[in-house]
Formats: sequence, structure tokens, C-alpha cells
Amino acid sequence: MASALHTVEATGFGRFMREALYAYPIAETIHIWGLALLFGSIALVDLRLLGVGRRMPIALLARYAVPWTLLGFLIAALSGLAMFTAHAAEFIVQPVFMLKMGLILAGGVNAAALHAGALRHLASDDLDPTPRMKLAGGLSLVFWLGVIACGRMLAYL
Amino acid sequence: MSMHRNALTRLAAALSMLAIPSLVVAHHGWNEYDANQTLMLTGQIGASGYEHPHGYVKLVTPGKTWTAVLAPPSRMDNRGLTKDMLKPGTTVTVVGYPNRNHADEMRAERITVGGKTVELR
Repeated sequence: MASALHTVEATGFGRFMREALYAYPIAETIHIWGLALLFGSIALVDLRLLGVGRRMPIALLARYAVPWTLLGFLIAALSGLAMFTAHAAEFIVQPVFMLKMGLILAGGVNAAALHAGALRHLASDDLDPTPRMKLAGGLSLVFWLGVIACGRMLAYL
Repeated sequence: MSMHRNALTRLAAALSMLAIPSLVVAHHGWNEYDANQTLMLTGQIGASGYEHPHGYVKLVTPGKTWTAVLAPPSRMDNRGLTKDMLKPGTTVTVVGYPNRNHADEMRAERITVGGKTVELR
């Protein structure tokens, strides 16, 4: 595992991410663009699921947000992967990095389960979140706030 | 209903307890370098990395080889500290703070190479 990650670091792309003067800060910037879109769009849905903005039909907002959230995730994942290749073996041994990956997985599973389950059978004009939806919305906020906190802490721990 | 709300509250509380210590630790992380103890070290560069997120030099001093953490290469380049100036064999002086937890690591505030001093923070 460790040697595989050292191989990743030794690739031309890994070297490029470490040594090119502006590749890393550009990737950091793109990463923030991605997570702003990801978190901004999913947070609106999460707050709606928790009961905020009761005039907006839940299914309408939730379905509208999905492609934007996925696009944000894609942008963040690709730029994150680029930064990961620069120091793969160092990242992987950091507990806060593994916690971040775990929280991303939890956030993804939570959202997928919600969309495949409770939201799928929701009438398009339904305004009242069920307890299951509130739980999912609250969990989602906690997971993604945690992801962002872990990402930021990576630079300081 | 109330059961779900309870579970949600408890989970939020549990996760926020994860988040709060990490914020506290972050301050420790910043304080990892002991600013009350200024080091001024002169030696030869044994190895160097002009790389993100931080450059470094392995500084060979009598009796000890230090790892001095520098700044991001984009900043060093901006301030006139080029990759060539950090070649192994070059004599440099670094001023900075020692890491409390890693006895051979220090964070350099400035570095002097060939009569030129560059601020790193």
C-alpha cells in the first residue's frame, strides 16, 4: 500500500503537482470552487428537509439541486485527487484524512439512500418532511460540515 | 418522531465533539513550533525540496541535521529565492522556531543564502 502510494507520488503528475509553481495553489482554488457548489447546493436541501422554507415543495428543490451537487462533487474530487497525488503516502497515514474520507462516504450513502427511498415516492407538491427526511437532512449537514473541517485541518495537524 | 429527533440530536452532539477538539488541536498545531525559542542555524544544505505545499532544506549543522520547513515555492520564487539557490552543498543560515514534538524539525521564518535574506512568512 505504502509503496503503491510512493509510486503515485513518483509519477510525472505527482511531481508536477509538487514542483510546478502554481499547480498546487490552482488545484486548491478549484477544490474550494467545487466544495462551495457541493455544500451550497446540498445545504439548501438539508435545511429544507429540516423544515426551513416551507413554501418550497421538497421534491422540487431536492431534484433541482442534485446535478449541481454532483457537479460540485466532481470538481472537488478531481482537484482533491490531484493534490493527493503530490503527497499520497503522507496523506493516507493522517487520521484526519481517513476521517474525511469516511465522512464523504457517509454523506454519499446518506444522500443516495434518501433519494432512492423517501424522496422517490414524494409527491411533487409535498411540503412536510417526514422524520426520516429530517434525520437525513441533519445528518447530511453534519457530515459535510465535518468533511470541510477535516479538509481544513489537514494543513494544521 | 421524538425518537428520530433524539437520535439526530445525539449524533450531532457526538460529531460536534469530534469537531471541537480538532479545532483546539489546530491551535496546538500552530503552536507546535515554539516561538519563545528562536533558533539561528548555519550549515550546509544536504538535500532540499522546492515543492508544495511547503519547501524544505535538510540542514547539516555540527552534530545534528535539521529539517527546516520553508514556504510554498510560489512564494519563495516571488520573493527571489529560486530553486537554484537551495542546491545541496550551499551554505545557508535559517532563523526560526523548533517543533515541540519533532526534535530535528524547525519552521524557518527567514533564510539567508549568499548574503541575501528572504522572509518566508
